[in-house]
Amino acid sequence: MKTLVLVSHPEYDNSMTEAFLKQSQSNIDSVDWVVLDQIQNQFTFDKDAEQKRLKQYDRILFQFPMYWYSAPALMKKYQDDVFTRNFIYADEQGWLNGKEFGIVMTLGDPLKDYQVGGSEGFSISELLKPYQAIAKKAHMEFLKPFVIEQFAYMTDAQKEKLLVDYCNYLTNDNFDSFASKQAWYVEQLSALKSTLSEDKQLQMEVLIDYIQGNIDQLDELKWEIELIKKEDDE
Amino acid sequence: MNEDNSWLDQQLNELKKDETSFQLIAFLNQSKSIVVEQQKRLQQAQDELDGRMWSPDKW
Repeated sequence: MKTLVLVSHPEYDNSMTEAFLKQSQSNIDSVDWVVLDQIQNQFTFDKDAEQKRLKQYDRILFQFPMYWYSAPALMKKYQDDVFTRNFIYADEQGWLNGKEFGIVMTLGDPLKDYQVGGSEGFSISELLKPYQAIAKKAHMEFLKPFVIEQFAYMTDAQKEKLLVDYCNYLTNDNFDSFASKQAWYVEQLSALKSTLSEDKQLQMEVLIDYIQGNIDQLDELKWEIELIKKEDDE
Repeated sequence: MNEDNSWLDQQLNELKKDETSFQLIAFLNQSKSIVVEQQKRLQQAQDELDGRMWSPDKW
């Protein structure tokens, strides 16, 4: 699976969050990172080049800080320039048909404010409706958004979790399923193993085997439960 | 649940020793939360299995 992260941030070079996220995905070959502010020319995008780019990916992510309950203006300009009718409409050419579309949004305020009864009063799901509508029109699968709240206040432990969750969102086919996350995790640890010394590679192998053993045991138990459920039904 | 994970802590500490990559340390530290979630689900699945096997319907 190939993933494209399209980043729009008016203060990109000064953003600690964007620097962290960029670094987090920097060694993943299947992910490409494109900053809109760096590819625009006089606030305009090359429609043909961008359409060609989008066609290459299975998962397309828009990443931006929330500006007035929406994306920064350049992100909208990208949509207006690149998303032509033929390109988007699934019942015409619909080049994005079957691809996944997700939003990575950073918030300066606490996420808890964005809900009914919260100080903002509207949920993130409500605010992201325009993107969901585009996905619907293009017959794309709209992914559960990845929301990062108050990066500046995060502890190291929270940042570690963010790094792992972000990589999971970018590269795991079924990122919201724990079953899938376990298998994905084994793959990640296996890849990291090669960066370690020989002694540590063996220790890493023990850790990987333990996690894999738990996966197998869990599968076995689920299988037995399903069997009993089936018998009960008959 | 409430498994003794001290061997895991030890394993992770040894793996992290002298390492500087934030990414590696993040994945190692987060592997504990994966294991804890696995242990919770294993216990739940075992309890469900026991419950279904000892269902009064089968007495």
